[in-house]
Amino acid sequence: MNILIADDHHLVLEGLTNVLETMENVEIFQAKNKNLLLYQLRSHKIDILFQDILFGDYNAREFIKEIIKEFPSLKIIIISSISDLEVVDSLFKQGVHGYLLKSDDLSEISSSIATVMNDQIYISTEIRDLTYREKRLDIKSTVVLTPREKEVLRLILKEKTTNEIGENLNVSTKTVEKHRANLFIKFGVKNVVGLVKKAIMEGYS
Amino acid sequence: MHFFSNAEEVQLEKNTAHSLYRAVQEIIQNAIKHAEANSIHVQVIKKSGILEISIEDNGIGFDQDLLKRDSTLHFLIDRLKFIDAELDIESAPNQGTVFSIIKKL
Repeated sequence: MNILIADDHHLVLEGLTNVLETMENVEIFQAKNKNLLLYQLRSHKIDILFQDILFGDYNAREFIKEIIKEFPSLKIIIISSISDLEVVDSLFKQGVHGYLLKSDDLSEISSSIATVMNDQIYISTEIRDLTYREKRLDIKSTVVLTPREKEVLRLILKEKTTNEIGENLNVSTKTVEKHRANLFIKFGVKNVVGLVKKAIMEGYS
Repeated sequence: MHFFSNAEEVQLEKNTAHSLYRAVQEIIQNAIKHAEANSIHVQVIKKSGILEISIEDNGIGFDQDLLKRDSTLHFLIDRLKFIDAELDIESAPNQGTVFSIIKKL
């Protein structure tokens, strides 16, 4: 099996090479920049590519599609220190086969190789935990509003001032402020900007 | 019936807690009996220096002027004054009612 490691950091390159060399029937290739990466891919029949995201002057998110197009049978495992779920998600959407974090346990490297060679997707355990936690947060943050709070929120989203909201709902500004304070507490925000952001994220608009 | 609270850690004197409990009970019973409400939100919210307990229904609501002459309500307000709490009422015909008990902490 031919494995190519693409990382611009010497230590990562050598460290990963050392780990992979302990595996049987594996030949390791290295690339420190995008030109070398393409050269290696074109010169050898590479089975798996371990690809860093911030790769010299390039960001792998910008060229991963080209590589997949030119080498459709190549398995790509991202190896990065970025655990941002948006980044992870965007790379999987582009068609990568695995995602490892540089902080992952060494055993994850062999698991990821076995998984992608078996035509399945591999996601680092740490990222899976993160996704799980974020989902739980989502559930927890689903806010139940009273009818009055919904009305006040609706008018805030329409850029109405406290006075206008009071007139509209036929209540005092003090009352509007009370409902608004409760909205801040329920959404866990400190000001109207935060409230609007969170409310839109939660599907109020 | 919905419930929301961010005030789990608030400690009240036994007397105060009991009076607040009674008041909330009375307001809820009233909403069920007379307001023709089919949804009630009870919220216990701690804000800076105050504890706010609000009971919001979506019932028939009532005229604020009529309210001022209601004797059971006056009785409730007096009892709340006794524990240094205020009652604020927000209502209009057909627009539901929000009772807010405000207790200084």
